[in-house]
Amino acid sequence: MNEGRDIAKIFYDLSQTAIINVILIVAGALFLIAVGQRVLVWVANKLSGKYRLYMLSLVPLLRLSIIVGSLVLIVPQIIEPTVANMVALLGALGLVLGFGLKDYVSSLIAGIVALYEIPYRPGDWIEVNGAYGEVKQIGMRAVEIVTPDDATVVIPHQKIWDQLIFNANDGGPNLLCVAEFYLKPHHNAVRVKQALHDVALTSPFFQIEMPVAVMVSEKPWGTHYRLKAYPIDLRQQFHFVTDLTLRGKAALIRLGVEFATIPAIPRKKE
Amino acid sequence: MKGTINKKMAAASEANENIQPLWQIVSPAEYALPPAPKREAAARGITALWRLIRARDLKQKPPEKTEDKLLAFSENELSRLVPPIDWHLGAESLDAKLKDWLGQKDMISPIRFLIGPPYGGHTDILGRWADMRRIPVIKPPAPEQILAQDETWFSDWSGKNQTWVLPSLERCYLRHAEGLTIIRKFFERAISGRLGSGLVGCDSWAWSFFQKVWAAPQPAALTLQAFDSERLGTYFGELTVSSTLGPLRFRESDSGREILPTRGAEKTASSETSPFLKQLAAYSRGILGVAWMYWRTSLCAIPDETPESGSQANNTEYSLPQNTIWLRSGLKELEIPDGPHHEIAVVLHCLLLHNGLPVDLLVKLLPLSQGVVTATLHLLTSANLVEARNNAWRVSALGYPVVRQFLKSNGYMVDLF
Repeated sequence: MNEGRDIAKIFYDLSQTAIINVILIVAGALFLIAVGQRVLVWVANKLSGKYRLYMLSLVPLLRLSIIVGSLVLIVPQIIEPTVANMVALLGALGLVLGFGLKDYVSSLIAGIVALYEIPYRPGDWIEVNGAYGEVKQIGMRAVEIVTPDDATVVIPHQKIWDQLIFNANDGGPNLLCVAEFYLKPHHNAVRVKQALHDVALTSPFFQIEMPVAVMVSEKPWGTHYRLKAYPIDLRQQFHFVTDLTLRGKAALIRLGVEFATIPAIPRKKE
Repeated sequence: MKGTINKKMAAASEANENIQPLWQIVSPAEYALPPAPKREAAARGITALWRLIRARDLKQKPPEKTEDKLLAFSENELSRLVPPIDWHLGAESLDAKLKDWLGQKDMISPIRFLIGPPYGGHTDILGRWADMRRIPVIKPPAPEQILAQDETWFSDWSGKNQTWVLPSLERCYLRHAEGLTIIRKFFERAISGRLGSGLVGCDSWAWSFFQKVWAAPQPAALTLQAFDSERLGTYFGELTVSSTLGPLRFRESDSGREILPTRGAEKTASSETSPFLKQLAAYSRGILGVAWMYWRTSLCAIPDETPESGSQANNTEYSLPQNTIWLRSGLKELEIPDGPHHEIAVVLHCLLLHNGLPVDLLVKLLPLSQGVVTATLHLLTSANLVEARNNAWRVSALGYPVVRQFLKSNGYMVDLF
């Protein structure tokens, strides 16, 4: 009981002015976050390539700066900011949050770590637990991605503690796309490799300044080709793979190569 | 006295040595882009600040001639004022550059390349050079031959022991899975010397693409040096001198400042040099064809202006008697139209990589339907960014700087120049 009274003592007797100040600071911070976020995203959408990514990555940093700044302004309004008072307050807060809102707080802390370690930024293409999409927003608790099927997936930051985060472009403008081809084994692999290489080189989606690679591996059912190349725009990656697949198939048909298929197995009659 | 004369002659000789030739053939590494507009803008800003500090010329002068008073010249008048570019001097400069190479008995490198940006005149220069030297010109293969990977095109070389010219290498490929075989075989045969000695012209965009198609080191290339503001001033000045229109003055419409150095005329208060040529050189990236088109479209006249010289009044049309030609101030940049961003970019990039294409080939090379390609071309035509000539669509000279910047900022590969 005494401890409770002691902690209560560290707070000022909040005057009406202090309450109004706190409300104004919170409202101002929320307003600045909303406006800043909208402006940065608007500007980013006017840009393309790496400049768009740089601009988008400023969004969470701006929000963190505003939150820290507003906390610095709020704390002196409600407590006397001595070392003893701060230790007592943070200790009490830690105890409460540690038991009651463990996962939530874990995500908040992971959110701060994510800002420092940068496993993903807005504009990155990431995969977490099988969900693949473009990072649209990084909140304090969770990251929002939009999948190619236009579904929004909210992923708590705490996943960074124990899950594998696959980042396809890692803040850069380049993202490797792979088109797969499965062929019957009897063919001229050198000609096929050259034809697939040219398919990538002549795609209007292809970033000419990046390399093309064709990986070949022999499987029990035939030959597996993986055509690897980079699109000009990350957002065109699915069109790029479609273009590679369509034109790759056409080129292979012209070469007279047969595609491997799984033979249909009739069901046993019961 | 004699010593003084010698000193003067030496100084004059030194000055002549410092003057760059108008037409200069250099290696691509020596190609010097005129200073970027940003630098120009910064320099102008500093100058303006300096003027403010000096507290002189503070009052902004009203425009010398308002836009509504300015009238465009007719095509006939424009062709008299700005005749088509004569690339013959470029061919002579190329000939001088190649003199040693042509004189070699056993050529170390049998093939030389002349690279040029769109509207940089590489095809015209090579055409003139072939005429000068009476050298056979090899025509590019037909698109059908390229796609069919038909090697009969190489029979054009059979029996030719003399030097040959292929002016447009960019016409010898198509960015299609079947469109690269012929160009690869050409590089292979030409560089190994199997086609004899020859001079090959190539557009700079296609040249950049060929670095990926033919990974082996390319033989030495040449290019026409960029036309900076001094060269442009000389070029347009010589046009005026060589014309039959008498001495002409070119002045900026808003400030009235002289654009070309005044020859022999008395200097007036408004004879301060205009930055127009510097802006033009930077904006056109030193490409003569682009600068020529901007110059041509910037010229305008004032119909009711009293002729300052009556000597030509009887034999010229309404605006030519005046000896002052006005140029609209500030380069009016074209804009990329609002529309399907991706379609616009791929169509423009494809046109530049091939230095122009007909619609049917564009449809073949792009993953777009004929309707989309046609609609995109019409959208770009309405923005003056592309134009159709001889059944082929091409990025316009006026639109080229904007298109290049647009493609670069969107991550597309651009040329060296």
